[in-house]
Amino acid sequence: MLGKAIPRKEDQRFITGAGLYVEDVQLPGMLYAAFVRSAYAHAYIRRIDVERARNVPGVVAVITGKEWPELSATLPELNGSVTLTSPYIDSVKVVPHHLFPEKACYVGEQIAVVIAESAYAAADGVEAVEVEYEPLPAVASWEEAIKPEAPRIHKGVDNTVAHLKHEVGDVERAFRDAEIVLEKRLETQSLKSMAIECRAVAAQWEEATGTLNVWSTCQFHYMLRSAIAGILKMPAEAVRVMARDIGGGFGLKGVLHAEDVIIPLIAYRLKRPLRWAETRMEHMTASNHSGRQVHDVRIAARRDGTILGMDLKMYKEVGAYDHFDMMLQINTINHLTTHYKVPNIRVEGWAIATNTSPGSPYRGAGRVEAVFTMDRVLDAVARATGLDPIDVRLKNIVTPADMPYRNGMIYRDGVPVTYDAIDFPLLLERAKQRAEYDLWRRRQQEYRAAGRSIGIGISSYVEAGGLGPCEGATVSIDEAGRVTVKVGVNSQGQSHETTLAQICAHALGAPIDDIQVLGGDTSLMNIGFGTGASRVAVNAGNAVYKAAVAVRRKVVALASGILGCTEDEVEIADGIVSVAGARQNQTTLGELARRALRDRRMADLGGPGLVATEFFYPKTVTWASGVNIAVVEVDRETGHVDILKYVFVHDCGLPLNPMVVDGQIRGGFTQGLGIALGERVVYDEEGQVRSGSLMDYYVPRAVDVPDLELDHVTFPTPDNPLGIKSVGESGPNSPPAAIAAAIEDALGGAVEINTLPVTMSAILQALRSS
Amino acid sequence: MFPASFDYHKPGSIEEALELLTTLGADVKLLAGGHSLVPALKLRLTQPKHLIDLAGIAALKTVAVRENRLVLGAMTTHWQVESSPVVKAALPYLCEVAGLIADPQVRNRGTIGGSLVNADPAADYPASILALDAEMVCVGRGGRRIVHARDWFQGLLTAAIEEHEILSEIRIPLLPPRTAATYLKLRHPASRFAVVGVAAIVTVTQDQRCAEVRIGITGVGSCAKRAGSVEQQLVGHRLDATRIEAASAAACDGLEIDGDMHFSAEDKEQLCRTYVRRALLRTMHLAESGAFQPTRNAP
Amino acid sequence: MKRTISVTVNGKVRRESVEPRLLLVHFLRDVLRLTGTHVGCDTSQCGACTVSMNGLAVKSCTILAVQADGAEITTIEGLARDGALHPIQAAFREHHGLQCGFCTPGMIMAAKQLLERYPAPTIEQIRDQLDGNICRCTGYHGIIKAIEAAARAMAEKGQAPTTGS
Repeated sequence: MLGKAIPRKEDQRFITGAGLYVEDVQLPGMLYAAFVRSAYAHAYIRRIDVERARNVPGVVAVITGKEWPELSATLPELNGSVTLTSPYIDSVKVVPHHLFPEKACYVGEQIAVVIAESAYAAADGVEAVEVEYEPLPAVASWEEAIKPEAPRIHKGVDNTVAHLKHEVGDVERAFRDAEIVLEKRLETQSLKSMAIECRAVAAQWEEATGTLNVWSTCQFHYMLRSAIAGILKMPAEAVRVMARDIGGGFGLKGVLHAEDVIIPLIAYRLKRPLRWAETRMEHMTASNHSGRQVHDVRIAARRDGTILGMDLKMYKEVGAYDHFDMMLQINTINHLTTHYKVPNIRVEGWAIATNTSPGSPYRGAGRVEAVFTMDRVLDAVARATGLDPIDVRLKNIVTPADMPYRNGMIYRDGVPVTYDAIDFPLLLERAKQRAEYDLWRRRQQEYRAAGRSIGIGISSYVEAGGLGPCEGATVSIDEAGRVTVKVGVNSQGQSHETTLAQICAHALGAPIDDIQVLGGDTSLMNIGFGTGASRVAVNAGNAVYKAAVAVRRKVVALASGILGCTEDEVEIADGIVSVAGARQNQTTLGELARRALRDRRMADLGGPGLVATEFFYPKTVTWASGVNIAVVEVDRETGHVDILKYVFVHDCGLPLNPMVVDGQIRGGFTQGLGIALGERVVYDEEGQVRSGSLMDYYVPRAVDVPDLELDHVTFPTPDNPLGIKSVGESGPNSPPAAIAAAIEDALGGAVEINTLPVTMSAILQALRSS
Repeated sequence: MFPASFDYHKPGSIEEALELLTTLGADVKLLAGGHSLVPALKLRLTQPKHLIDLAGIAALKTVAVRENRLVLGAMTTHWQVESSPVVKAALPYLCEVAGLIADPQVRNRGTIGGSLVNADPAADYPASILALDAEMVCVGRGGRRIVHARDWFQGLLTAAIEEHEILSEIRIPLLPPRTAATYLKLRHPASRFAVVGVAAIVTVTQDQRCAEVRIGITGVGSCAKRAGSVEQQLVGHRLDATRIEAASAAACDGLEIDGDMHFSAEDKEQLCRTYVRRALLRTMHLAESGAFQPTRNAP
Repeated sequence: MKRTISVTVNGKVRRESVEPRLLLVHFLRDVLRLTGTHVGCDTSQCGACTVSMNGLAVKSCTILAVQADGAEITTIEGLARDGALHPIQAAFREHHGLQCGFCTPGMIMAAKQLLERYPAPTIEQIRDQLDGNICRCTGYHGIIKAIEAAARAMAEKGQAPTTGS
């Protein structure tokens, strides 16, 4: 069952329209919320006149931050519930983020909320609220924000809110020894996760049980529970957060936004069920974005292509509130060298506040920036030395002989980054073969002679996944033999109901059809962390495995007594428990579960029933990796990029379900394609959002996506019982770098591509200026 | 997104609609396919007191060939144009144009009349309406008025229709013999509107000289325009690649091109010239291979 | 002023009094409680709200409920017959045509029209006809495979696609 491409168990409800997303939650007496939001990127809120709004038909209440004391609360300071440590950082200034701030620091920031009998009436109410602003000068880019005369976003706090540095080896010496020194400025754009379901939250106070029920689209439901319980001074168990069917997450929903907390607080006060669903326009303005990141990089190399050292300065826009300290930059640093040896590295980074919505991770979370930098550097060395980009890569690649290999970085769990049991040269060779690299190099010359601009780009990534601290799982068998798996994580489409059931079926011997997986509900497990950082398969997957093994142990112990055999003789297959070699002597998992309720033998096996809870604590992260090769043709007159061939070779350890792995890679690749060619959050100088809808923010459609040639290579990890690594964030990492490199190559070295996205306009401009 | 309140009226005839239009006051909007208006209502960019839905008026749904003209009722949807056997027989070019608008769902609802009255600078139809030299029939209480395509697009989101008029039909003259036509569009990556759209319609003589040419451009300016300077350089000549290339250099004459967040003014000028050239080349390729549009009957 | 409309939804006649400003998607979701049809954008791009109206795929977020007076509508909930999945639904499951499932109902309703218009579509036609639907999870690969498979399944069963709802 493990490793099989079976169709997904969760699909039935989604293909019939029976999924229950947060916006589908409808309760008797439900009210609807809509937010009054700041029209300015930076302004004092001097007066909020709610009188006219209160008289709008259907409006029940208009609530500002002064309404009740709990509304003056702040969001939890740091959002990264799975960030364990923050290596490299030497200063962070955290500014409290109020649910209803007195000073708006970005366009779309919440000022007041209208509660009404319908969403339409709530929108009418919002329109009737009059806000008097005192606009202040705003800064919308890090370049402006670091100027000495720049307005301060938060009083008394420098706009540079955090700083880090780290050095490996002796960088000064590397540059003294260098035969070639190159400098580049690389820029990656800000992005929106752009799940098709926007954010939403619904809440209901259940008087009979004293429970505040919350339905949320968040990826970290326990973090939301803590925040709500903390503000309301309730026991955590009195807040039940359900985050079940979620229409895509990709990082943005892994962040606590003010609305996630405000709606439950109001529902609790009003004692009426309340729902808010974000509009796409709110999503484009008020929701978090990933933030631009600019790298100034210097490279020391030898004429034979050997990289001696790298000196990197990183500037990151973190928006008005820095909820992730420098997590994204730390991710960039820890993934920076990808498959290559850079013996001497110095990095220094700054997190710079701007008058935009706060920054937060988007699928890849700093890895796209790392990969784009490393591959652009390798290509620059190739150009400077006249070597083929493949040869430069082979010159610097980490080989199996180098394993275990440490690059000098410290992961966020405090453990030194270590690669082991991975064959990077093999991945590169496979990609080269699949892409018919040498053939395309020849064709490139022929096509060029015919006036066509063909280019080839190569990119390699690593992906640390399975970040701890841990996840747990409870596996139980009922009297009918049905198995329930409860986990502390939730799904935004990752197929947990299938893959975790496959693990359980494998470990327990129960038929997959009899296994149901439940997650995304804080009442299922006392503790859980959540879905993000490519961590579920490794953490929850191995927890399910351990719990299923523990239940199996009970089954075996009980069965050996009942069937009169030794434990070694007990076999379990398809829910049938039998004695090896004597199949007629058998019982079922259901029968054993019934017996286990009252059988005294269970006293020594942990208590009644066939049930076990186990936690898995990973030693550190696992390292997935891959190589991408893109062949593109550029229309020099229009800047249009046509992808002629795209090869994606990857390793994610043993796949739980190859179909699901395939889907993760293809979906992630498509997001990477968007990053490469057009996705971009754009603010003007005043901090107004110019990419305010899907009319302006590009998301790839079916016609835009090329056929992907996917090649799965498997290097199982010895670090967990299942030998699995992560895959969720593998897809988007390399396409931007590979496609950018291919475009640069197609343009025949006339221009350098150093900025993402590489839009048609960027290509036209580059060609005009060359 | 939730529209503000309004009253809804669904007249059964043009007369009834005109009556409503004059009696309901100033805050009235006509609702055709609704695929520009309803999003604007949702974003509350417009908040009319009354909507008059034209969907109940059978007279606005004609698709016919009359007196050497293709007559399209203003409420003809893009999908109807794309799939209509009448249009396919008379002017298959227009089926292709309609099939390039937005996406299938939008084409099922959006109408030619709605598009032309809205006069979005990046809409697809306007380029072809200009190149086809169509006529718009506007009906008011005082009677009907015919507006030629060249007078129709007056500026940003502004068409030559009066406040109390209804666009009832679009009349498109069928093409003379030996006429080839191309609509070439650079689709906006996000919105799917035209970054630039060029309609090129060329009639050639037996010896492949350009007898007549009309080029309509949409997307780059504040409204669709004819490329007059390009046309002038082509008439009477053999349209080889050199001639086309030289003439296309004038593609942006008379267009006020502004940059936006996706394309700079320079980009747009370059794209406009490129698309005019490519559209002409493709049209000439069609002409040379004898792929002409159907011919109108001899008068 | 409210108006009474009569709409046949998934074969059932529904008479309701609605505000003229009510969007069809909210009529389906909030009035009829058919929440399989989703809202993903404000500007008619994403296609999550696609339903079949008088046999045509439409974006129900860009149509007023009053405009649907007298119409026949099929939503995702009306696609399976007597408990049996429509071949497109089955193919989406078989070929991993979905991950989070949010765009899926709209995608399936768009695919339904696609196969009515192009019973044996090329990959290019499939891609082109899906231009009104955005999926953020799958990269479209499984969706395209599913639609190809559904076309074959429907042809084998002799299930001539109907243009009605």
